[in-house]
Amino acid sequence: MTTSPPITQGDLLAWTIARWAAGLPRMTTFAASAAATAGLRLAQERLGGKPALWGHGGAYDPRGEVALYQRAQLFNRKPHARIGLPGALETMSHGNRLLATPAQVDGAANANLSAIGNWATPKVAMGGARGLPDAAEIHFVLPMHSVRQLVKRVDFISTAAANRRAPPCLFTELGVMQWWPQRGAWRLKERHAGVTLAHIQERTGFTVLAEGEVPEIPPVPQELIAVLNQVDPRRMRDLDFVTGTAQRQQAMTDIETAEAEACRS
Amino acid sequence: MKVVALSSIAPLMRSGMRVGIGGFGLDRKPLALVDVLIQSGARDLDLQVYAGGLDVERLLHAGAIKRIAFTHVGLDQFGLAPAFRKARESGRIEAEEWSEWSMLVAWRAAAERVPFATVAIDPATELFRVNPSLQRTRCPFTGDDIAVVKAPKIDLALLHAEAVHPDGWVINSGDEYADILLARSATITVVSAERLIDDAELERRWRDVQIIDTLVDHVVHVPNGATPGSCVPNYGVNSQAITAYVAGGKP
Repeated sequence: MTTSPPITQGDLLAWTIARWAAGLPRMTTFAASAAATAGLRLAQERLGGKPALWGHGGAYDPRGEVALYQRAQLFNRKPHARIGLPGALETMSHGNRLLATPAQVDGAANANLSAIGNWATPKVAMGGARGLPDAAEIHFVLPMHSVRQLVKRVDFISTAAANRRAPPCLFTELGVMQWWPQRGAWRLKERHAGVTLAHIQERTGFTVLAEGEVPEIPPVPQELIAVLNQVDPRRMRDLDFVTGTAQRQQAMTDIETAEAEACRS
Repeated sequence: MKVVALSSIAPLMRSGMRVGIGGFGLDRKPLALVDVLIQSGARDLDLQVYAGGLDVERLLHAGAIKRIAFTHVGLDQFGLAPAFRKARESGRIEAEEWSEWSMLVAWRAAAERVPFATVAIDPATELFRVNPSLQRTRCPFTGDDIAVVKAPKIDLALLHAEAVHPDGWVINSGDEYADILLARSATITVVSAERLIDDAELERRWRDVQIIDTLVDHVVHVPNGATPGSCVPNYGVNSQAITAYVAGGKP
């Protein structure tokens, strides 16, 4: 008798994002997290979603496998076009959606990818704001829900998501929150099985509202796990949940080795 | 014929000059050219990078940077860039942080030889507070509040490519990134390349030409000129070397 491997947090986050993306109109989507990219690919493959992705190598809407940064273009299969970086950024004004993973998101839907502490001499200098202020619509993926990242007030406003054309969503391994413009607060929209609002509130630095009974996210259908394994065969989606420098390094090395083998074969 | 020896570009480099460096993150960074820049003794550089990586790290280690304009500096899957962190956190360098689109628009304005350009950007971003090249003004046509970016004057662009014709036609099968804009903006553009190609290959691959000959001043043949970063599709990153750097080695 064979047993199915356990469902991972990476599977759950990818599935949550796939369900959301399946309902989107056709639109360019940039994703920072590998689980988010895997979810978008799943939505494209099986859920009828039309989110076009931009991949490295200038490939627009590639339908390949999720891969590490520089190798990604080698796994871009059948892209619909090649538009390059300026072309991709230009879609910002034509309805681009960004799925970002900032260092902090706060209770006013501001996001920070610039600096922890004072910007001029920060306690931790992050890489920089990247495209956060540019996207016409922005949503957040913070795989590991914590008070460290979900803060009352960000240290620097790289971007203010509440002023966008659509209320931002915030995906974590515990559930999905959405900005509630009328109340100026985040509202728990969906939660994973067994997760309570109290549990989420405990791990969040700002107040999370709820309206009535918050629905549970249904379990991932087994056949869709098989599709996830096709679009993300080296399980990049699990990288979002690896903690510890040594463990992360090992996980990265394993993926790099597997990618190098895939390139050779 | 613009091909020169790697060492012969050193006299182009002067302290205080504004240098734009191409590539993106760990990919197609002109690291051999950056090494010449360091060896030339030029210091107090005013750097312009779209997505910086080992280029910025090496220049910071050499103490060559006075000011840096960037949208992001990092080592992709290897995490934050240690020297950049240290320099920013100590306040040792002047920093000018940009969003991606605003920097592309500023470089495009520089390429078009206009002093500024308008840009669509979140009006609430605090980048307006910390970046003096990003301002708000009134649109002369509609009266609306709009964002504008100042075009930088770039003295020298350093780029790396998959292949170059000796006359300066630059070929990449990968992403153009913002390299074209740098070549169009800079007073002098130097391109290092994995391979030099002949007329026959240029004729065959004319669709892959990303930068035309008139924008390139000097061509340098440097195989592996982007290592230990990548030059996709020629080679990937040297993970061991970058891991060793992050653990406390040299960039």
